[in-house]
Amino acid sequence: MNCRAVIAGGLAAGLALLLAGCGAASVPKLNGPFGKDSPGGDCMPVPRGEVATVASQEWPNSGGTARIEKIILVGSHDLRLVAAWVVPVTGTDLIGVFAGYPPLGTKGDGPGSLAPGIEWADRQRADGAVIPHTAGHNVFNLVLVVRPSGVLGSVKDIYVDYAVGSTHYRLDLHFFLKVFNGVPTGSSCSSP
Amino acid sequence: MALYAMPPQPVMAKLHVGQQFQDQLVGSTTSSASGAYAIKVTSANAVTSSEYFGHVNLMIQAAGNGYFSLYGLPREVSEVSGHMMLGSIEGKPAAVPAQATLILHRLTGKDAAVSDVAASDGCWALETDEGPAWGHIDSVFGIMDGVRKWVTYYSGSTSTVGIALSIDGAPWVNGEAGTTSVTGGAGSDQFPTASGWTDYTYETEFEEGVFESCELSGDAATFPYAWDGGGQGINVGVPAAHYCVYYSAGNEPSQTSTQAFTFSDGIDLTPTIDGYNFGLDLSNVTGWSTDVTLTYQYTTDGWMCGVNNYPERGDDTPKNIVAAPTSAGSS
Repeated sequence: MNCRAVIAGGLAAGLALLLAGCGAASVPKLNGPFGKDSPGGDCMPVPRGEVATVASQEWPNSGGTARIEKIILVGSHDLRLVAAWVVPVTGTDLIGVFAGYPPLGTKGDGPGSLAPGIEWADRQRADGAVIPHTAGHNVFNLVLVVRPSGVLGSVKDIYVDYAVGSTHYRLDLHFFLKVFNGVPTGSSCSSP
Repeated sequence: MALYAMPPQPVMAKLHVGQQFQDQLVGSTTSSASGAYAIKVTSANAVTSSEYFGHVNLMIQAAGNGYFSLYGLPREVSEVSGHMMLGSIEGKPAAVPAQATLILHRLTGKDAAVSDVAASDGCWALETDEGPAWGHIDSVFGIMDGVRKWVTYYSGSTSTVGIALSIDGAPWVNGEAGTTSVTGGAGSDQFPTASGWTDYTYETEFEEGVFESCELSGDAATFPYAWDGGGQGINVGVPAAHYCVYYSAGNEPSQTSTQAFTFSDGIDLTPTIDGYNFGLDLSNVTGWSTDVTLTYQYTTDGWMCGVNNYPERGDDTPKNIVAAPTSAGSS
């Protein structure tokens, strides 16, 4: 299997979208310094043709300086990753989930400009981002910008692969996502 | 001292008053004169054959010199890299091995003359059915309009509840003898949807019984042994939650308590010549369920806030998630 980097538009230069299991010589370790996440998911609507900002996931770093190797969308279907950033958060609010690009969204009044402690100016592209040790309750907020094609775009899970020195880890976000393109979310939100 | 695996939930749920059941022996040992002990897992099959939806109820029985005690502790059985592992039922790494102190109770009369082996043979009888008792599932909270919230309790959901012990008519002491778990049956239950200001803890009913040791006339323990189903919500007050995430209208985020963690810190049950020392985890949580999903449906813009951490982090048990109108959360 050949693994190819997917470049989309001007926002994703250098961003690599990798399929789970592609090119991995061994499974990264779980239980790393980014901790663990509880299973969950989200269903959301966007205006037809619009992108969605999904920034409800975060992690601390209880260990030494880490480097993110790749963000993996597991079981992706009709959903393209347009951009991915990590944003330091020194307050108690995350950017959140809404239609449009971060930090303002399509309405122009998204939370990114309102919540103190969201250090948007210090964001890094997720691929290759350097994550220092975090103190107190500081975290790094993962910001994904995705675009659905067709009526429904979805992913079954999201992995964050990272390294501390020569040790490779995986943060399994246990997070599914469904983005409804120009239609309501429907009666039942469950993992695809 | 003997470590036993109790029968799986479907067997326990069919018990009638007067019926006996036999626990399966996992391992045994004799303590030192000072009471120190370490039980080795010599029969992994006793554990794996007793699990139901990945959960197994274990029980330590200790007897000797006219004294008796028991300690229950539910565990989760999972496969990790081809090995069957035994870990904490809450999904948190257990300190392995950990110490647990069993409080020995003095037996009187004929019970005091019963041999140690007979006293701890893992045989129990359902003496009386105490009827249904409410057990916590999880909670939903909200301080804003426009957010619908509900709890779904899935098949295989398990609640842990304290075991109360009484020897020779002594007062019941709940939780002193550890905990047991009750796993729900097939299908799922969705509790009624709540809107607006909400501070519900949902509960479901379990059947509680008093159990006697087959060999000791004065030994009894009480604990839930079957899931009756049904549910109710009780008001508990909205907790202070300030770790918030913004959700625009139309979002339907959910959090599931399913223990999907890797039990890399658990006990490996793969049989070896030497067996494995069995560790005991004292971080039991009494009365809270796993395998439930909380869903919050935002029909207007709002925030989802956690008490001790961001909602998706899942450190809190129960979830303690509050739907709030601003990033200030709830106070």
